[in-house]
Amino acid sequence: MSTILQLLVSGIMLGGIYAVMSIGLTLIFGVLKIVNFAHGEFLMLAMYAAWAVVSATGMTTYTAMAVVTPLLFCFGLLVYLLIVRPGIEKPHLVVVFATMGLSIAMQNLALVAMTADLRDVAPLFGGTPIKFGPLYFRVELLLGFLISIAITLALMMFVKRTYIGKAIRATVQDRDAAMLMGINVPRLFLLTFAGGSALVGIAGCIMLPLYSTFPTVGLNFVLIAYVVVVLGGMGSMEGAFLGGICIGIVQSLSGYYVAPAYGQMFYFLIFLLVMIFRPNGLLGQRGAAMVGINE
Amino acid sequence: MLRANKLSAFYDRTQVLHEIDLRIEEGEIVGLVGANGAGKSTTLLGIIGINTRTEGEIWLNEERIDGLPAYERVRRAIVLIPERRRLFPFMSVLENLELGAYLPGPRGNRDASLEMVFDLLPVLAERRYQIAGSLSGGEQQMCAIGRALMSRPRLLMLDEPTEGLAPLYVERLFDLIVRLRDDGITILLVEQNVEHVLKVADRGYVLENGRIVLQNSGQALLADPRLKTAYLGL
Ligand SMILES: Nc1ncnc2c1ncn2[C@@H]1O[C@H](COP(=O)(O)OP(=O)(O)OP(=O)(O)O)[C@@H](O)[C@H]1O
Ligand SMILES: [Mg+2]
Repeated sequence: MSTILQLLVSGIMLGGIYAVMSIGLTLIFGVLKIVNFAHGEFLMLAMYAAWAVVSATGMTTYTAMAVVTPLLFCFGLLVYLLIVRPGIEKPHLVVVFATMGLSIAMQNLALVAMTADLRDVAPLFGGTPIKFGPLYFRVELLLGFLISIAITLALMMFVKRTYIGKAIRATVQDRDAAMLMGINVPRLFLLTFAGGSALVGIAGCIMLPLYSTFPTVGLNFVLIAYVVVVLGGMGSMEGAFLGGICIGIVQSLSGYYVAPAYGQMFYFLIFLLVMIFRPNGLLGQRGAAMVGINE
Repeated sequence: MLRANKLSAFYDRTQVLHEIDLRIEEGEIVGLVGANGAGKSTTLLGIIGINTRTEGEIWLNEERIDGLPAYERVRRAIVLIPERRRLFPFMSVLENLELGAYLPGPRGNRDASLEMVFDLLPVLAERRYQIAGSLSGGEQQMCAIGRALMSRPRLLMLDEPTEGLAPLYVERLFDLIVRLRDDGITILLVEQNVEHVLKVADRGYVLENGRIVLQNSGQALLADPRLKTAYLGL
Protein backbone atom coordinates (compact mmCIF):
# COMPACT_ATOMS: atom_id res chain seq x y z
CA MET A 1 0.00 0.00 0.00
CA SER A 2 2.65 2.50 0.96
CA THR A 3 4.64 1.48 -2.10
CA ILE A 4 1.83 2.42 -4.40
CA LEU A 5 1.25 5.64 -2.51
CA GLN A 6 4.92 6.43 -2.75
CA LEU A 7 4.87 5.71 -6.47
CA LEU A 8 1.77 7.82 -7.05
CA VAL A 9 3.12 10.78 -5.14
CA SER A 10 6.50 10.60 -6.84
CA GLY A 11 4.72 10.29 -10.16
CA ILE A 12 2.67 13.39 -9.50
CA MET A 13 5.77 15.33 -8.56
CA LEU A 14 7.62 14.19 -11.62
CA GLY A 15 4.54 15.09 -13.64
CA GLY A 16 4.56 18.62 -12.29
CA ILE A 17 8.09 18.98 -13.60
CA TYR A 18 7.08 17.59 -16.97
CA ALA A 19 4.28 20.13 -16.99
CA VAL A 20 6.61 23.08 -16.50
CA MET A 21 8.85 21.73 -19.21
CA SER A 22 5.87 21.56 -21.59
CA ILE A 23 3.92 24.66 -20.71
CA GLY A 24 6.07 26.98 -22.79
CA LEU A 25 5.59 24.73 -25.78
CA THR A 26 1.83 24.72 -25.40
CA LEU A 27 1.73 28.47 -24.90
CA ILE A 28 3.75 29.08 -28.05
CA PHE A 29 1.66 26.64 -30.01
CA GLY A 30 -1.60 28.14 -28.80
CA VAL A 31 -0.72 31.68 -29.73
CA LEU A 32 1.54 31.32 -32.77
CA LYS A 33 0.18 28.02 -34.08
CA ILE A 34 3.69 26.80 -34.63
CA VAL A 35 5.62 23.98 -33.04
CA ASN A 36 9.13 24.77 -31.94
CA PHE A 37 11.14 21.70 -32.86
CA ALA A 38 14.14 23.07 -31.00
CA HIS A 39 12.22 23.05 -27.71
CA GLY A 40 14.39 20.22 -26.37
CA GLU A 41 17.54 22.13 -27.21
CA PHE A 42 16.21 25.21 -25.46
CA LEU A 43 15.95 22.96 -22.41
CA MET A 44 19.48 21.69 -23.00
CA LEU A 45 20.73 25.28 -23.21
CA ALA A 46 18.88 26.14 -20.01
CA MET A 47 20.41 23.17 -18.19
CA TYR A 48 23.92 24.03 -19.36
CA ALA A 49 23.36 27.65 -18.43
CA ALA A 50 22.21 26.60 -14.98
CA TRP A 51 25.20 24.31 -14.67
CA ALA A 52 27.55 27.11 -15.70
CA VAL A 53 26.08 29.54 -13.22
CA VAL A 54 26.21 26.97 -10.43
CA SER A 55 29.79 25.97 -11.25
CA ALA A 56 30.98 29.55 -11.53
CA THR A 57 29.29 30.99 -8.45
CA GLY A 58 28.44 28.05 -6.24
CA MET A 59 24.81 29.10 -5.91
CA THR A 60 22.05 26.53 -6.13
CA THR A 61 20.22 25.97 -9.40
CA TYR A 62 17.16 27.54 -7.80
CA THR A 63 18.89 30.84 -7.29
CA ALA A 64 20.51 30.44 -10.71
CA MET A 65 16.99 30.75 -12.07
CA ALA A 66 17.29 34.49 -11.65
CA VAL A 67 19.98 34.45 -14.33
CA VAL A 68 18.88 31.56 -16.54
CA THR A 69 15.26 32.66 -16.98
CA PRO A 70 16.06 36.11 -18.39
CA LEU A 71 18.82 34.53 -20.46
CA LEU A 72 16.38 32.14 -22.11
CA PHE A 73 13.92 34.99 -22.57
CA CYS A 74 16.57 36.88 -24.55
CA PHE A 75 17.53 33.75 -26.43
CA GLY A 76 13.87 33.27 -27.33
CA LEU A 77 13.66 36.86 -28.57
CA LEU A 78 16.67 36.33 -30.76
CA VAL A 79 15.50 33.01 -32.18
CA TYR A 80 12.09 34.46 -32.87
CA LEU A 81 13.44 37.49 -34.70
CA LEU A 82 16.11 35.66 -36.67
CA ILE A 83 14.59 32.26 -37.37
CA VAL A 84 10.88 32.06 -36.67
CA ARG A 85 9.51 35.41 -37.80
CA PRO A 86 10.85 35.25 -41.35
CA GLY A 87 8.92 32.01 -41.83
CA ILE A 88 5.77 32.69 -39.92
CA GLU A 89 3.60 33.81 -42.83
CA LYS A 90 5.00 31.06 -45.06
CA PRO A 91 3.70 27.49 -45.29
CA HIS A 92 3.96 25.60 -42.03
CA LEU A 93 6.82 23.39 -43.05
CA VAL A 94 9.11 26.41 -43.24
CA VAL A 95 9.03 26.96 -39.49
CA VAL A 96 9.14 23.22 -38.88
CA PHE A 97 12.36 22.84 -40.84
CA ALA A 98 13.85 26.09 -39.60
CA THR A 99 13.45 25.06 -35.96
CA MET A 100 14.56 21.51 -36.72
CA GLY A 101 17.70 22.93 -38.29
CA LEU A 102 18.21 25.07 -35.22
CA SER A 103 17.82 21.99 -33.03
CA ILE A 104 20.53 20.09 -34.88
CA ALA A 105 22.82 23.10 -34.94
CA MET A 106 22.43 23.62 -31.20
CA GLN A 107 23.13 19.97 -30.42
CA ASN A 108 26.33 20.09 -32.44
CA LEU A 109 27.43 23.44 -31.08
CA ALA A 110 26.94 22.06 -27.60
CA LEU A 111 28.98 19.01 -28.52
CA VAL A 112 31.81 21.21 -29.76
CA ALA A 113 31.68 23.61 -26.86
CA MET A 114 30.94 21.25 -23.98
CA THR A 115 31.99 17.79 -25.29
CA ALA A 116 29.71 14.82 -24.72
CA ASP A 117 30.53 14.61 -20.99
CA LEU A 118 27.68 14.54 -18.53
CA ARG A 119 27.48 17.64 -16.37
CA ASP A 120 25.64 17.68 -13.10
CA VAL A 121 25.46 19.53 -9.82
CA ALA A 122 25.96 18.24 -6.29
CA PRO A 123 22.71 17.20 -4.58
CA LEU A 124 21.25 19.44 -1.89
CA PHE A 125 21.85 18.35 1.73
CA GLY A 126 24.19 15.61 0.52
CA GLY A 127 21.29 13.81 -1.13
CA THR A 128 19.40 12.97 2.06
CA PRO A 129 15.72 12.47 1.20
CA ILE A 130 12.95 14.13 3.19
CA LYS A 131 10.56 11.92 5.05
CA PHE A 132 6.80 12.52 5.29
CA GLY A 133 5.24 9.72 7.34
CA PRO A 134 5.91 6.60 5.33
CA LEU A 135 6.94 8.56 2.23
CA TYR A 136 10.40 9.63 1.13
CA PHE A 137 11.24 12.31 -1.42
CA ARG A 138 14.30 13.75 -2.95
CA VAL A 139 14.48 17.36 -1.89
CA GLU A 140 15.03 18.42 -5.49
CA LEU A 141 11.92 16.62 -6.66
CA LEU A 142 9.79 18.23 -3.99
CA LEU A 143 11.25 21.68 -4.66
CA GLY A 144 10.82 21.22 -8.39
CA PHE A 145 7.23 20.21 -7.90
CA LEU A 146 6.42 23.15 -5.65
CA ILE A 147 7.96 25.55 -8.11
CA SER A 148 6.00 23.92 -10.92
CA ILE A 149 2.74 24.40 -9.09
CA ALA A 150 3.56 28.00 -8.31
CA ILE A 151 4.51 28.73 -11.92
CA THR A 152 1.44 27.07 -13.35
CA LEU A 153 -0.90 28.87 -10.97
CA ALA A 154 0.79 32.20 -11.55
CA LEU A 155 0.58 31.73 -15.28
CA MET A 156 -3.08 30.80 -15.17
CA MET A 157 -3.87 33.84 -13.06
CA PHE A 158 -1.89 35.98 -15.46
CA VAL A 159 -3.77 34.68 -18.46
CA LYS A 160 -7.19 34.89 -16.80
CA ARG A 161 -6.88 38.24 -15.11
CA THR A 162 -4.54 40.61 -16.85
CA TYR A 163 -5.27 42.46 -20.06
CA ILE A 164 -2.20 40.98 -21.73
CA GLY A 165 -3.38 37.55 -20.65
CA LYS A 166 -6.75 38.23 -22.18
CA ALA A 167 -5.07 39.41 -25.35
CA ILE A 168 -3.17 36.12 -25.40
CA ARG A 169 -6.35 34.09 -25.03
CA ALA A 170 -8.10 36.21 -27.64
CA THR A 171 -5.26 35.62 -30.08
CA VAL A 172 -5.40 31.89 -29.40
CA GLN A 173 -9.11 31.85 -30.19
CA ASP A 174 -9.21 34.12 -33.22
CA ARG A 175 -6.10 35.86 -34.43
CA ASP A 176 -7.86 38.15 -36.91
CA ALA A 177 -10.51 39.19 -34.44
CA ALA A 178 -7.72 39.94 -31.96
CA MET A 179 -6.15 42.22 -34.52
CA LEU A 180 -9.50 43.96 -34.92
CA MET A 181 -9.49 44.72 -31.19
CA GLY A 182 -6.30 46.70 -31.70
CA ILE A 183 -4.11 43.99 -30.20
CA ASN A 184 -0.58 44.27 -31.53
CA VAL A 185 -0.47 40.66 -32.59
CA PRO A 186 3.08 40.65 -34.02
CA ARG A 187 4.44 41.97 -30.75
CA LEU A 188 2.35 39.48 -28.79
CA PHE A 189 3.93 36.71 -30.86
CA LEU A 190 7.38 37.95 -29.99
CA LEU A 191 6.58 38.22 -26.28
CA THR A 192 4.91 34.83 -26.20
CA PHE A 193 7.81 33.10 -27.88
CA ALA A 194 10.27 34.76 -25.55
CA GLY A 195 8.06 34.12 -22.53
CA GLY A 196 7.62 30.48 -23.48
CA SER A 197 11.39 30.21 -23.77
CA ALA A 198 11.81 31.80 -20.34
CA LEU A 199 9.58 29.05 -18.93
CA VAL A 200 11.98 26.52 -20.42
CA GLY A 201 14.70 28.38 -18.51
CA ILE A 202 12.84 27.70 -15.27
CA ALA A 203 12.33 24.07 -16.26
CA GLY A 204 16.04 23.66 -16.96
CA CYS A 205 16.95 24.95 -13.50
CA ILE A 206 14.50 22.58 -11.84
CA MET A 207 15.64 19.62 -13.90
CA LEU A 208 19.40 19.98 -13.72
CA PRO A 209 19.63 18.65 -10.14
CA LEU A 210 17.46 15.67 -11.11
CA TYR A 211 19.16 14.76 -14.36
CA SER A 212 22.59 15.52 -15.70
CA THR A 213 22.94 17.50 -18.87
CA PHE A 214 24.66 16.61 -22.15
CA PRO A 215 24.32 17.83 -25.73
CA THR A 216 21.37 15.62 -26.66
CA VAL A 217 19.60 15.73 -23.31
CA GLY A 218 16.74 17.60 -25.00
CA LEU A 219 15.84 14.59 -27.10
CA ASN A 220 15.05 12.61 -23.97
CA PHE A 221 12.55 15.13 -22.80
CA VAL A 222 11.14 16.76 -25.87
CA LEU A 223 9.17 13.68 -26.78
CA ILE A 224 7.56 13.73 -23.36
CA ALA A 225 6.83 17.42 -23.82
CA TYR A 226 5.07 16.80 -27.13
CA VAL A 227 3.01 14.00 -25.63
CA VAL A 228 2.09 16.18 -22.66
CA VAL A 229 1.07 19.07 -24.89
CA VAL A 230 -1.06 16.99 -27.22
CA LEU A 231 -2.50 14.99 -24.36
CA GLY A 232 -3.60 18.12 -22.53
CA GLY A 233 -5.09 19.69 -25.64
CA MET A 234 -2.70 21.74 -27.70
CA GLY A 235 -2.60 25.28 -26.40
CA SER A 236 -4.24 24.51 -23.06
CA MET A 237 -2.13 25.27 -20.01
CA GLU A 238 -4.33 23.50 -17.52
CA GLY A 239 -4.31 20.61 -19.95
CA ALA A 240 -0.52 20.58 -20.06
CA PHE A 241 -0.45 20.41 -16.29
CA LEU A 242 -2.89 17.52 -16.20
CA GLY A 243 -1.10 15.82 -19.08
CA GLY A 244 2.22 16.17 -17.28
CA ILE A 245 0.83 14.60 -14.13
CA CYS A 246 -0.64 11.70 -16.13
CA ILE A 247 2.65 10.95 -17.79
CA GLY A 248 4.51 11.28 -14.50
CA ILE A 249 2.24 8.76 -12.79
CA VAL A 250 2.36 6.33 -15.70
CA GLN A 251 6.12 6.52 -15.78
CA SER A 252 6.47 6.06 -12.07
CA LEU A 253 4.08 3.08 -11.87
CA SER A 254 5.25 1.29 -14.97
CA GLY A 255 8.88 1.88 -14.03
CA TYR A 256 8.34 -0.02 -10.80
CA TYR A 257 5.84 -2.69 -11.77
CA VAL A 258 7.01 -3.47 -15.27
CA ALA A 259 10.40 -2.09 -16.14
CA PRO A 260 11.73 1.45 -16.52
CA ALA A 261 12.51 0.81 -20.16
CA TYR A 262 8.84 0.21 -20.95
CA GLY A 263 7.70 3.53 -19.52
CA GLN A 264 7.60 5.12 -22.95
CA MET A 265 5.47 2.33 -24.31
CA PHE A 266 2.91 2.92 -21.61
CA TYR A 267 2.57 6.62 -21.98
CA PHE A 268 2.34 6.34 -25.71
CA LEU A 269 -0.41 3.80 -25.15
CA ILE A 270 -2.27 6.28 -22.96
CA PHE A 271 -1.60 8.88 -25.57
CA LEU A 272 -3.19 6.70 -28.25
CA LEU A 273 -6.22 6.03 -26.11
CA VAL A 274 -6.75 9.70 -25.37
CA MET A 275 -6.37 10.53 -29.04
CA ILE A 276 -8.96 7.94 -29.93
CA PHE A 277 -11.54 8.94 -27.35
CA ARG A 278 -10.79 12.63 -26.90
CA PRO A 279 -9.07 13.74 -30.07
CA ASN A 280 -8.77 17.33 -28.86
CA GLY A 281 -6.85 16.30 -25.76
CA LEU A 282 -8.01 16.15 -22.17
CA LEU A 283 -8.90 19.82 -21.85
CA GLY A 284 -8.60 20.82 -25.47
CA GLN A 285 -11.09 23.12 -27.08
CA ARG A 286 -12.69 21.66 -30.10
CA GLY A 287 -10.74 22.63 -33.16
CA ALA A 288 -8.19 24.62 -31.17
CA ALA A 289 -5.41 22.67 -32.78
CA MET A 290 -6.58 23.72 -36.17
CA VAL A 291 -4.74 26.57 -37.68
CA GLY A 292 -6.90 29.64 -38.08
CA ILE A 293 -9.58 28.65 -35.64
CA ASN A 294 -13.13 29.62 -36.72
CA GLU A 295 -12.32 29.79 -40.39
CA MET B 1 -13.57 61.64 -42.81
CA LEU B 2 -12.35 58.60 -44.74
CA ARG B 3 -11.33 58.57 -48.37
CA ALA B 4 -10.08 55.70 -50.47
CA ASN B 5 -8.37 56.71 -53.69
CA LYS B 6 -7.92 54.12 -56.39
CA LEU B 7 -8.04 51.36 -53.82
CA SER B 8 -7.24 47.92 -55.21
CA ALA B 9 -7.17 44.74 -53.20
CA PHE B 10 -5.57 41.38 -53.83
CA TYR B 11 -5.58 37.85 -52.45
CA ASP B 12 -2.17 36.58 -53.45
CA ARG B 13 -2.09 37.53 -57.12
CA THR B 14 -5.84 37.66 -57.67
CA GLN B 15 -7.14 41.18 -57.87
CA VAL B 16 -10.54 41.53 -56.25
CA LEU B 17 -10.97 45.31 -56.07
CA HIS B 18 -10.14 47.51 -59.01
CA GLU B 19 -9.20 51.09 -58.15
CA ILE B 20 -12.32 52.04 -56.27
CA ASP B 21 -12.88 55.53 -54.89
CA LEU B 22 -14.86 55.90 -51.70
CA ARG B 23 -15.66 58.90 -49.60
CA ILE B 24 -17.30 58.85 -46.19
CA GLU B 25 -18.14 62.09 -44.45
CA GLU B 26 -18.37 62.62 -40.72
CA GLY B 27 -21.78 61.67 -39.36
CA GLU B 28 -23.00 59.79 -42.42
CA ILE B 29 -24.38 56.35 -42.88
CA VAL B 30 -22.87 55.05 -46.09
CA GLY B 31 -24.24 51.86 -47.58
CA LEU B 32 -22.12 49.53 -49.67
CA VAL B 33 -24.13 46.97 -51.61
CA GLY B 34 -23.53 44.48 -54.36
CA ALA B 35 -23.97 40.87 -55.36
CA ASN B 36 -22.21 37.98 -53.63
CA GLY B 37 -18.52 38.04 -54.35
CA ALA B 38 -18.57 41.65 -55.53
CA GLY B 39 -15.85 42.59 -53.04
CA LYS B 40 -17.80 44.27 -50.26
CA SER B 41 -16.12 42.42 -47.40
CA THR B 42 -12.78 42.83 -49.09
CA THR B 43 -13.31 46.59 -49.17
CA LEU B 44 -13.84 46.66 -45.41
CA LEU B 45 -10.88 44.37 -44.79
CA GLY B 46 -8.75 46.60 -46.97
CA ILE B 47 -9.78 49.69 -45.03
CA ILE B 48 -8.98 48.07 -41.67
CA GLY B 49 -5.86 46.37 -43.05
CA ILE B 50 -6.19 42.64 -42.48
CA ASN B 51 -6.19 39.54 -44.64
CA THR B 52 -5.93 41.31 -47.95
CA ARG B 53 -3.14 43.27 -49.61
CA THR B 54 -4.10 46.68 -50.95
CA GLU B 55 -2.74 49.25 -53.33
CA GLY B 56 -3.87 52.84 -53.57
CA GLU B 57 -4.41 55.39 -50.84
CA ILE B 58 -6.58 55.44 -47.76
CA TRP B 59 -6.86 58.73 -45.96
CA LEU B 60 -8.35 59.24 -42.52
CA ASN B 61 -8.93 62.97 -42.31
CA GLU B 62 -5.49 64.41 -43.04
CA GLU B 63 -3.55 61.25 -42.37
CA ARG B 64 -2.65 58.56 -44.85
CA ILE B 65 -3.24 55.20 -43.15
CA ASP B 66 -2.84 52.55 -45.83
CA GLY B 67 0.70 51.77 -44.68
CA LEU B 68 -0.33 51.20 -41.07
CA PRO B 69 -0.92 47.77 -39.55
CA ALA B 70 -4.50 46.97 -38.53
CA TYR B 71 -3.97 47.63 -34.83
CA GLU B 72 -2.75 51.14 -35.60
CA ARG B 73 -5.89 51.81 -37.62
CA VAL B 74 -8.04 50.54 -34.76
CA ARG B 75 -6.14 52.90 -32.50
CA ARG B 76 -7.41 55.68 -34.77
CA ALA B 77 -10.96 54.59 -33.90
CA ILE B 78 -11.79 52.74 -37.10
CA VAL B 79 -13.60 49.60 -36.03
CA LEU B 80 -14.86 46.67 -38.06
CA ILE B 81 -17.55 44.20 -37.10
CA PRO B 82 -16.54 41.46 -39.48
CA GLU B 83 -18.63 38.99 -41.38
CA ARG B 84 -19.85 36.15 -39.15
CA ARG B 85 -19.16 38.24 -36.04
CA ARG B 86 -15.92 36.59 -35.00
CA LEU B 87 -16.50 36.69 -31.26
CA PHE B 88 -13.99 34.99 -29.00
CA PRO B 89 -16.05 31.84 -28.67
CA PHE B 90 -14.60 30.45 -25.44
CA MET B 91 -14.78 33.69 -23.52
CA SER B 92 -17.71 35.16 -21.66
CA VAL B 93 -19.73 38.03 -23.06
CA LEU B 94 -18.12 40.29 -20.49
CA GLU B 95 -14.61 39.29 -21.53
CA ASN B 96 -15.48 39.85 -25.16
CA LEU B 97 -16.67 43.32 -24.27
CA GLU B 98 -13.56 43.98 -22.22
CA LEU B 99 -11.41 43.07 -25.17
CA GLY B 100 -13.32 45.65 -27.19
CA ALA B 101 -11.81 48.15 -24.80
CA TYR B 102 -8.32 46.71 -25.09
CA LEU B 103 -6.51 49.82 -26.28
CA PRO B 104 -5.32 52.28 -23.63
CA GLY B 105 -7.77 55.03 -24.61
CA PRO B 106 -10.97 52.95 -24.50
CA ARG B 107 -9.61 51.03 -21.50
CA GLY B 108 -9.69 54.22 -19.48
CA ASN B 109 -13.41 54.57 -20.24
CA ARG B 110 -14.17 50.92 -19.79
CA ASP B 111 -16.70 51.12 -17.00
CA ALA B 112 -18.61 53.96 -18.58
CA SER B 113 -18.61 52.19 -21.95
CA LEU B 114 -19.82 49.01 -20.34
CA GLU B 115 -22.71 50.84 -18.76
CA MET B 116 -23.53 52.49 -22.09
CA VAL B 117 -23.44 49.16 -23.93
CA PHE B 118 -25.57 47.36 -21.34
CA ASP B 119 -28.01 50.24 -21.53
CA LEU B 120 -28.21 50.02 -25.30
CA LEU B 121 -28.24 46.22 -25.48
CA PRO B 122 -29.79 44.97 -22.26
CA VAL B 123 -29.61 41.38 -23.42
CA LEU B 124 -25.83 41.56 -22.98
CA ALA B 125 -26.20 42.59 -19.37
CA GLU B 126 -28.39 39.56 -18.72
CA ARG B 127 -25.97 37.24 -20.44
CA ARG B 128 -22.72 38.76 -19.34
CA TYR B 129 -21.30 35.57 -17.83
CA GLN B 130 -22.42 33.29 -20.63
CA ILE B 131 -19.78 31.89 -22.96
CA ALA B 132 -20.03 33.79 -26.22
CA GLY B 133 -19.99 30.67 -28.36
CA SER B 134 -23.21 29.52 -26.74
CA LEU B 135 -25.21 32.67 -27.49
CA SER B 136 -27.94 32.56 -30.10
CA GLY B 137 -27.13 34.07 -33.49
CA GLY B 138 -28.94 37.28 -32.71
CA GLU B 139 -27.34 37.59 -29.31
CA GLN B 140 -23.95 37.02 -30.87
CA GLN B 141 -24.63 39.87 -33.23
CA MET B 142 -25.53 42.12 -30.30
CA CYS B 143 -22.36 41.02 -28.57
CA ALA B 144 -20.28 41.85 -31.64
CA ILE B 145 -21.85 45.29 -31.81
CA GLY B 146 -21.35 45.80 -28.10
CA ARG B 147 -17.73 44.75 -28.39
CA ALA B 148 -17.19 47.24 -31.19
CA LEU B 149 -18.85 50.05 -29.26
CA MET B 150 -16.59 49.38 -26.28
CA SER B 151 -13.73 50.71 -28.36
CA ARG B 152 -15.51 54.01 -28.87
CA PRO B 153 -15.36 53.99 -32.68
CA ARG B 154 -15.48 57.12 -34.77
CA LEU B 155 -15.94 55.11 -37.94
CA LEU B 156 -17.86 51.88 -37.46
CA MET B 157 -17.93 49.42 -40.33
CA LEU B 158 -20.48 46.62 -40.21
CA ASP B 159 -20.35 43.63 -42.52
CA GLU B 160 -23.79 42.09 -42.96
CA PRO B 161 -24.93 42.68 -39.39
CA THR B 162 -28.43 41.39 -40.08
CA GLU B 163 -27.19 38.02 -41.28
CA GLY B 164 -29.33 35.36 -39.65
CA LEU B 165 -31.53 37.76 -37.71
CA ALA B 166 -35.30 37.50 -37.45
CA PRO B 167 -37.20 40.36 -39.16
CA LEU B 168 -38.08 41.96 -35.85
CA TYR B 169 -34.40 42.10 -34.90
CA VAL B 170 -33.47 43.45 -38.30
CA GLU B 171 -35.78 46.40 -37.66
CA ARG B 172 -34.27 46.96 -34.25
CA LEU B 173 -30.77 46.70 -35.58
CA PHE B 174 -31.40 49.35 -38.21
CA ASP B 175 -32.94 51.58 -35.55
CA LEU B 176 -29.84 51.05 -33.47
CA ILE B 177 -27.56 51.94 -36.37
CA VAL B 178 -29.45 55.17 -36.99
CA ARG B 179 -29.22 55.94 -33.31
CA LEU B 180 -25.49 55.39 -33.29
CA ARG B 181 -25.14 57.74 -36.22
CA ASP B 182 -27.20 60.32 -34.37
CA ASP B 183 -24.80 59.90 -31.46
CA GLY B 184 -21.99 60.95 -33.78
CA ILE B 185 -20.59 57.64 -35.02
CA THR B 186 -19.93 57.54 -38.75
CA ILE B 187 -21.12 54.31 -40.30
CA LEU B 188 -20.12 52.22 -43.29
CA LEU B 189 -22.66 49.48 -43.73
CA VAL B 190 -22.42 46.42 -45.96
CA GLU B 191 -25.68 44.57 -46.46
CA GLN B 192 -27.40 42.03 -48.64
CA ASN B 193 -30.65 43.64 -47.69
CA VAL B 194 -30.42 46.42 -50.28
CA GLU B 195 -33.75 48.11 -49.82
CA HIS B 196 -33.29 48.33 -46.13
CA VAL B 197 -29.78 49.74 -46.20
CA LEU B 198 -30.49 52.29 -48.84
CA LYS B 199 -33.49 53.49 -46.89
CA VAL B 200 -31.37 54.40 -43.88
CA ALA B 201 -28.20 55.30 -45.74
CA ASP B 202 -27.38 58.90 -46.51
CA ARG B 203 -25.40 57.73 -49.50
CA GLY B 204 -24.75 54.42 -51.13
CA TYR B 205 -22.24 52.72 -53.39
CA VAL B 206 -22.96 49.77 -55.62
CA LEU B 207 -20.12 47.40 -56.18
CA GLU B 208 -19.98 44.99 -59.09
CA ASN B 209 -17.06 42.69 -59.74
CA GLY B 210 -14.74 44.84 -57.68
CA ARG B 211 -15.69 48.11 -59.34
CA ILE B 212 -18.02 50.85 -58.19
CA VAL B 213 -20.73 51.07 -60.80
CA LEU B 214 -23.19 53.41 -59.11
CA GLN B 215 -23.16 55.95 -56.34
CA ASN B 216 -25.79 58.33 -55.16
CA SER B 217 -27.95 59.20 -52.21
CA GLY B 218 -29.70 56.18 -50.77
CA GLN B 219 -33.13 57.22 -51.99
CA ALA B 220 -31.92 58.01 -55.49
CA LEU B 221 -30.20 54.66 -55.77
CA LEU B 222 -33.34 52.86 -54.71
CA ALA B 223 -35.21 54.55 -57.52
CA ASP B 224 -32.49 53.83 -60.07
CA PRO B 225 -33.34 50.95 -62.41
CA ARG B 226 -29.65 50.28 -62.93
CA LEU B 227 -29.46 49.07 -59.34
CA LYS B 228 -31.29 45.88 -60.21
CA THR B 229 -29.12 45.40 -63.25
CA ALA B 230 -25.96 45.68 -61.19
CA TYR B 231 -27.36 43.31 -58.68
CA LEU B 232 -28.51 40.64 -60.97
CA GLY B 233 -25.59 41.06 -63.29
CA LEU B 234 -27.90 41.34 -66.28
N1 LIG C 1 -9.23 34.89 -48.41
C1 LIG C 1 -9.49 34.88 -49.72
N2 LIG C 1 -8.66 34.30 -50.59
C2 LIG C 1 -8.92 34.30 -51.91
N3 LIG C 1 -9.99 34.87 -52.46
C3 LIG C 1 -10.87 35.48 -51.65
C4 LIG C 1 -10.66 35.52 -50.24
N4 LIG C 1 -11.69 36.17 -49.69
C5 LIG C 1 -12.50 36.53 -50.70
N5 LIG C 1 -12.00 36.12 -51.88
C6 LIG C 1 -12.61 36.35 -53.21
O1 LIG C 1 -12.74 37.74 -53.42
C7 LIG C 1 -13.96 38.05 -54.04
C8 LIG C 1 -14.71 39.07 -53.23
O2 LIG C 1 -15.04 38.51 -51.99
P1 LIG C 1 -15.78 39.29 -50.83
O3 LIG C 1 -15.80 38.43 -49.64
O4 LIG C 1 -15.17 40.63 -50.69
O5 LIG C 1 -17.24 39.43 -51.45
P2 LIG C 1 -18.54 40.03 -50.80
O6 LIG C 1 -18.99 41.11 -51.69
O7 LIG C 1 -18.33 40.36 -49.38
O8 LIG C 1 -19.53 38.79 -50.95
P3 LIG C 1 -20.69 38.29 -49.95
O9 LIG C 1 -21.88 39.13 -50.22
O10 LIG C 1 -20.92 36.88 -50.40
O11 LIG C 1 -20.18 38.38 -48.58
C9 LIG C 1 -14.71 36.74 -54.20
O12 LIG C 1 -14.56 36.32 -55.53
C10 LIG C 1 -14.02 35.80 -53.27
O13 LIG C 1 -14.02 34.49 -53.77
MG1 LIG D 1 -18.96 39.54 -47.64
